[in-house]
Amino acid sequence: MKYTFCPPKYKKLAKSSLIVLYTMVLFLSSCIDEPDNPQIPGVETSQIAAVRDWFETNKTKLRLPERGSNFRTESQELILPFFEKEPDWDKFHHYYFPDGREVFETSLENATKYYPSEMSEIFVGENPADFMIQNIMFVRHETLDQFNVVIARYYPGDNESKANFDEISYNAIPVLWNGKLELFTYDERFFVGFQFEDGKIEFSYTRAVYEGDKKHSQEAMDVRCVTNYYPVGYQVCVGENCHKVIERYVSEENCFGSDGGSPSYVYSGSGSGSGVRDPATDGGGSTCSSCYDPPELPEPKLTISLDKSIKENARARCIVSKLALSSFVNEMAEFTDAEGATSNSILKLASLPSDINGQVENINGIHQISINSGILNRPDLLIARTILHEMVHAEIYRALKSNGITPLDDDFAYNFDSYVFLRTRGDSGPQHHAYMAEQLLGKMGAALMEIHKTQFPEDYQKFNQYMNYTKGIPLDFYKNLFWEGLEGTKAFDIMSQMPGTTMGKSPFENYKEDIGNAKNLMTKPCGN
Amino acid sequence: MWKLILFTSILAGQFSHVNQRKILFVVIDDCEKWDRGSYRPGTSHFSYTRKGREFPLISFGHAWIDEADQLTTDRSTYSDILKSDYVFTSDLSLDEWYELGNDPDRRIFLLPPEDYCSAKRFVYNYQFTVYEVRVHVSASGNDLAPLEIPIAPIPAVDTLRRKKNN
Repeated sequence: MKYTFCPPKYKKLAKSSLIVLYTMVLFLSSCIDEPDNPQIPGVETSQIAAVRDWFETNKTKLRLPERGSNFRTESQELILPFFEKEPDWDKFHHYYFPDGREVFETSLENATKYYPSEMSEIFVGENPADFMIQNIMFVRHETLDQFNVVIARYYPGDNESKANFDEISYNAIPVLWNGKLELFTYDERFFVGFQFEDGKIEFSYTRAVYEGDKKHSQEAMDVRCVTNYYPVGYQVCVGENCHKVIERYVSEENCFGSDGGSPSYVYSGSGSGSGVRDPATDGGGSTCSSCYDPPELPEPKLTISLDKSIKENARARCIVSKLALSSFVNEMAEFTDAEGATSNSILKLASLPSDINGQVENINGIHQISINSGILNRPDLLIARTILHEMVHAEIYRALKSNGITPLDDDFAYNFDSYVFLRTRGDSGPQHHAYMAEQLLGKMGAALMEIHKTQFPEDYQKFNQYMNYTKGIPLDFYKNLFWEGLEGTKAFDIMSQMPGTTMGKSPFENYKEDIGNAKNLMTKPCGN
Repeated sequence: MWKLILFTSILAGQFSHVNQRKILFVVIDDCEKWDRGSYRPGTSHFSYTRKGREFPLISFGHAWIDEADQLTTDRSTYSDILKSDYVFTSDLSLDEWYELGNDPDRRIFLLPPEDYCSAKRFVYNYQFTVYEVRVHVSASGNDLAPLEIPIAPIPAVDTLRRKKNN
């Protein structure tokens, strides 16, 4: 049986209508631009509005909390003058990182701009601020309702690479683009830079301040700014090759060309500047090293909240309280009984695999330092050592996030990047341990020695007397205690291969003996 | 009366649990793999450390610096040891070594290699001296969990490049 859906007399009309309709759809759809990434403007607008609301609510909290000391002036890292950011919310890119995190990259065009002075040498007679791109990236947190905020600055390396906002973004570098892309934290700490050639990353780099010529005259610059600029020397390391560079970052608020002093262009920013100034009275040609008064920024620190498991365990509590009195620990961290917002780390007891004394993991931005509850029957000093070792891991993580400011090492960025990171690509563990073995063993050993002497004096006396050390327990003994867990590092391999002398054992034999003696002989009165 | 007996036996059971941790005999049977070390002259203190560079590092110590931590000795025949909880060092897996090093609930008594690898083992009812020891097994360096890094990754330059305007 044959079914018909419309009477024969309407068939022709229906066919014609369908043809007309299909043709109209074809015409209409051909008029619509097909973007690279299909977007729904209405949805994106509401999304960027949500980002803006979050930013307006939280922008005062994005900088490190005030704590009194001034690291911005004393640190050995590149930190540019901070300015309040007012993104241009009408201009934004919306994309996703390869790991799935959502990103909104908005323009900071109408704000104070920073660029390296080398741009002035490339683009003679031009104002680099006119064509460099300065954006602010909001990277949505994977689990929390918040964003990580990063400043991205794109510095074209030649005329062909000048681009406007729409043509370049962090996930879309133009083909054949030459130049530099640098990332800064929200409060203007240099994070990492990438050198691009022909649209491809040639290398990444960091900048560590070195003591060099900081008095480069402003006359040498083609762009004379009446505004702030930030003269510093840097050691730029690419791979294992480092070279010194005299550079400065220019803060663009009101600038004039160098052609006879008449203002060829004027840029008014929304930073600390107050509009257009007179180049004559503002001294466009003078050295401007004092123009910038760095804002106060607190010394970053580990703030370790003590978990209930620590507070309620007499031994753990006792050992932590003694550690807190050590000057080494005090410089690096402070312990608090309070839980929550103010701490960036938590110390707790946990049931861990028996081959691990302690562990550090990052959960939602908080360093969770876990001490194996199974090791509490060990001597006090060895538990203190384990807590110290894990705290240093947490501090390394914190320092890496804070662009290298840490009491552990005045030259952390340089040492970690060029000396350790490049030798141990891959997981964090080998990198941290290599850094500890290469850079921190002496410091950690000395700290443990001080803790032993001052916080566990009875144990120190008994052990010293028993082992019959004539000049007190040597520093090497404490360093040997810290070798445990650092096996597999290059430094450990070198140490373990060193031969013994005719007078004594090899360093490896001493290490074995010391670590065994500590475990088998030292006492555990704390909290017992 | 029966209640009193029951209460007494429960109480006794509780105290015996406190005072008597389980005992494990460790027999060093791979005798050639261990170095004996001594401490202060005039004491019976000693250590056994596993030879070589193999990890984990393992040592047994029968020594103390504080009288409160004094370790004991006992005497036992080989057959009595085999009737108790015992392990041979050559049989222990990596995990078992770590377990041994981290077990606060057991007292460990060592039968030294010089005794085990001697003819004494075959002397009928020979009374060995077994030594209470502490064990050190060095930890591994796997103490960092994978990290969530809240920073931007290197740009994905090969995926979304745009054509340059010329």
